[in-house]
Amino acid sequence: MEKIGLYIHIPFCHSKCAYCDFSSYAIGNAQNENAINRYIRALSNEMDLYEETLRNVEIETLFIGGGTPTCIDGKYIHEMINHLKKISNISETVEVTIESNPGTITNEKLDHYLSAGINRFSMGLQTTDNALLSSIGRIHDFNTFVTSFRAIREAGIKNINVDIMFGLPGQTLENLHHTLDTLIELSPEHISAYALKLEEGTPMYEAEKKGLIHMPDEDLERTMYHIIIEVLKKSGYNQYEISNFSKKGFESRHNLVYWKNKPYLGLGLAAHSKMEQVRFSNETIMSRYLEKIENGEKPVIDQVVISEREDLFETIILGLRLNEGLDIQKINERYGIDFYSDNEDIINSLRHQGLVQMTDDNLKLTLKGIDLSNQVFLAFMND
Amino acid sequence: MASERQKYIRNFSIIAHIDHGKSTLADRLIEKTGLLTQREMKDQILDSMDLERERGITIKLQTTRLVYKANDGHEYVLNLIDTPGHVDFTYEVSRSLAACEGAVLVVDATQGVEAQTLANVHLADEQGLTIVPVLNKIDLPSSRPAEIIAEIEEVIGIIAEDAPQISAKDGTNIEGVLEKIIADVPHPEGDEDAPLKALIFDSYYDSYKGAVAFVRIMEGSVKKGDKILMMASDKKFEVVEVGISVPTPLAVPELRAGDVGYITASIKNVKDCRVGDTITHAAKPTDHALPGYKKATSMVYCGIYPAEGESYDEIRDALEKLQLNDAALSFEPETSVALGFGFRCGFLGLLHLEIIQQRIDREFDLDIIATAPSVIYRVTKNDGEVLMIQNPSNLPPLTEIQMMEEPIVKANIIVPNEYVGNIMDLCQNRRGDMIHMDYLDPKRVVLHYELPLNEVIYDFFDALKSKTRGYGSLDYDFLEYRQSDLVKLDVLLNKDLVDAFSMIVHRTKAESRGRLICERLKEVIPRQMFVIPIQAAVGSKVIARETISAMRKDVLAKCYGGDISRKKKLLEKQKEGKKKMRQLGNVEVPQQAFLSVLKFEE
Repeated sequence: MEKIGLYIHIPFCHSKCAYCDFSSYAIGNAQNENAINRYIRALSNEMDLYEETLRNVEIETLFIGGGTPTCIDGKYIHEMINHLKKISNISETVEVTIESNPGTITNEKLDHYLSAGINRFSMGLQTTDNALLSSIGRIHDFNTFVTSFRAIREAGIKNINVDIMFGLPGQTLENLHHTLDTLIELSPEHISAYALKLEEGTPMYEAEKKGLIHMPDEDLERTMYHIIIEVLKKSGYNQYEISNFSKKGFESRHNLVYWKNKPYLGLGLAAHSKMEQVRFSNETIMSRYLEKIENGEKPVIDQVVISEREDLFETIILGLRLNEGLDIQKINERYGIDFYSDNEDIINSLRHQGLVQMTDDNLKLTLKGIDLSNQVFLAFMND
Repeated sequence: MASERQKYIRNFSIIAHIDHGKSTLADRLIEKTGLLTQREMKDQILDSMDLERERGITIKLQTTRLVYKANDGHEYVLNLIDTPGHVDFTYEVSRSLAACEGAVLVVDATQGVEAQTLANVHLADEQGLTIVPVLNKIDLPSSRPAEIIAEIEEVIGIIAEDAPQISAKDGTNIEGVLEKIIADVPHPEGDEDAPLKALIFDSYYDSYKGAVAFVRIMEGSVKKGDKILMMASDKKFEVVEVGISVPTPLAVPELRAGDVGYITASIKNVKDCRVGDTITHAAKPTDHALPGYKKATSMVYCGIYPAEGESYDEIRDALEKLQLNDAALSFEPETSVALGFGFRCGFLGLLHLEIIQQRIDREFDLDIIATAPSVIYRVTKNDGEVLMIQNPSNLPPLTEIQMMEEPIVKANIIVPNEYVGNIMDLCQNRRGDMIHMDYLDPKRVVLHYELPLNEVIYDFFDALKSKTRGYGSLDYDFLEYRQSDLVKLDVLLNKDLVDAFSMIVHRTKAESRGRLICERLKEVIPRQMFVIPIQAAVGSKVIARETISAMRKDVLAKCYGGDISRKKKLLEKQKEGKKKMRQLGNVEVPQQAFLSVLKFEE
């Protein structure tokens, strides 16, 4: 039976962060039960629409992302997972992650999550500096984070990821060191570190355009990144992907599905899927998403059949993100090609520029190659 | 003795300073004479190229035949021969005027006489034409008809007292213009039974008909089937069609003395249908050819090269096709170390150059790279050999040069007096010598300058406009070659000389230009994988330097929920951008870089 990753999108947040351009709706503190109810029902219905698919695959990983899935009542998540279990085959060793934001976790919710089988939490800390947190529109402060983190631990969760951000306007190296040191003390199993990128249409993008905030320059931003790699390495976190670090054996299995270009199904508003060489994505407008599902129709808007060539390119650019690099032997088997001889000139030129290296039978990015990864990806792109 | 028919023909052009309303008046005349209904009118129908409409100027002349029933009860044929309205195109103006008996001089009643008003009047005078002044834009509250009439009479020396006062924009008193043309412009003369004598004043290439000659019949007549002789090129053809332009071509049985129309004769090569040549009958030729025209001389040169991914052959085809309609464009193959195979092209002036570049882009959809424009320098070597240098790369080493000379132009600049100081600074800065200065009226001044042409071709016109809030106007004419202390300024990118950026400048200007070019290039060339020094040098001496530091970061944002298609789109966009870059050595240079070195005023 084919193994897949399943993604479920919960597009609700207490309030929207100033840099966020994901599909999510701010529901504020007054919970809009009707809207949430209707959406959760739609999600279950969407699962039913994929029942035939789900019966024929095994779910290896489940990721409930958002938005902030933990901002809605725990019973919704519980019911939804129960429904999924009824119509699909879930692996014995399934990894079930829920994205959560500090301050949205209660003991009651934790009970629901644990009984539903959630065994991994992903928490958005971003930084320990309260002033910076509020400047990027986060609603929590550092103490709230610690409280939530401990509560999750005490509930018995042994696999926690914490997201941090660097390259924030006004962020200093001291601040970054403080964030890392504090976090390491809490000892999460997994840490993701993302550079802030301003997306058009977000409040921070506008603020930057007006000169109200200033992004750190490339040099400072890269220095921060290099510090993160170094400090985490010393503390026993292995970098296994450009932005991801973990203690041994705690790599995110769900994200590995994406990076290894394996099949995944995305349910919910604006979710993306790749099943059997077809990439497709869902409606991004809530009313249309609901309407289609309520009419018994899959809410798909975009559907692209991926050619072998494109699939290979995707495998390359995704695989190179991993520190183990591309396993050339596996690529050759998967695509029936001789990857090295087909790309010898490109590889040699990239090696010459210090962007990639070959170890054993793997092609990997160097640190410089990570900083300039687009240059590597472009080199492999077909004309 | 004019024939009865000729008494009801008027051949005229409209001349004006740019923006004084020439094309709008032409449209109104066409509309008024009922050639087209208002609904059929595209705005400014004579400016048929999109580019012309966009820039509000006429580049390629057009002719059209109007029929007007005058107040005297007679029906008149009015042949309107349009003229280009920019200083670069003086040559084309004089061509059109040679086919006319009169010229309607449009003067903006808010602006008054401008530099090109004077230049165009001068051309019309040379041709012995009757000038019919018209005051336009009287609908504007700021119009000053009485003052402007006085100005025309004083500055130009023609009577303007009874000049029609019109608004071409809203159609006021267009009839007055038509009546005035009939009253004042002499009708054509010429013996209709004499041997054929026809002046080619324009030609264009039609892929079905071959070269089409626009002609003014001076004497005799011509019809389909006639065997004709091109007197200068000495080629014979059989006439396939004669016709008039309304303004689309309309075949007629015959063209007779006094008429304006076109002739087609399966002429494959447009060079056999040279503008200025005289057409006559092969069997019964006229005794004397018409005086013809001087050949248009290119004043400004630049290299045109295919941008990344474009082909040399396609550029050549485009230039050949453009040349069919534009005899003033010249080109020959050349090679650049930096850019490979391309062409050295000659233009009448900087506007002409810009227009050709844009037409290559729009009409042929080709991406090109144009090198810095250059004038022609006269270089005398130690051994006495004299070279005319159009391409800075061909300049011999300084040690072999005995003397260098550059072209000087005589420029007339008209500005409101509050800007005189600004313009004197500008001209001083551009190495100009003021000859004298006249007041046109209490508020406006004509500055007569002698300026090196190489200072005029670099955004002088833009600078003039910006320093006079758009009120300054300019006209210039070649004066002479003058000895000058010139040097070749080179640009080195990552230590490699980029010949496409080389330019010849006055020694006193080398350092400031060098610095500016380095700064500009630093702004437009994106960071790359390595440090790139940009240097400006005269000979082996580096006079300015900037450094582009190496790119530190080029990454995609966080991948959200498997949305790889968005990442791929971003990469594709980046790839497209990269494709448009020009590889110079190992440095990728955007097209924009080639343009950015041409503008000097901040």
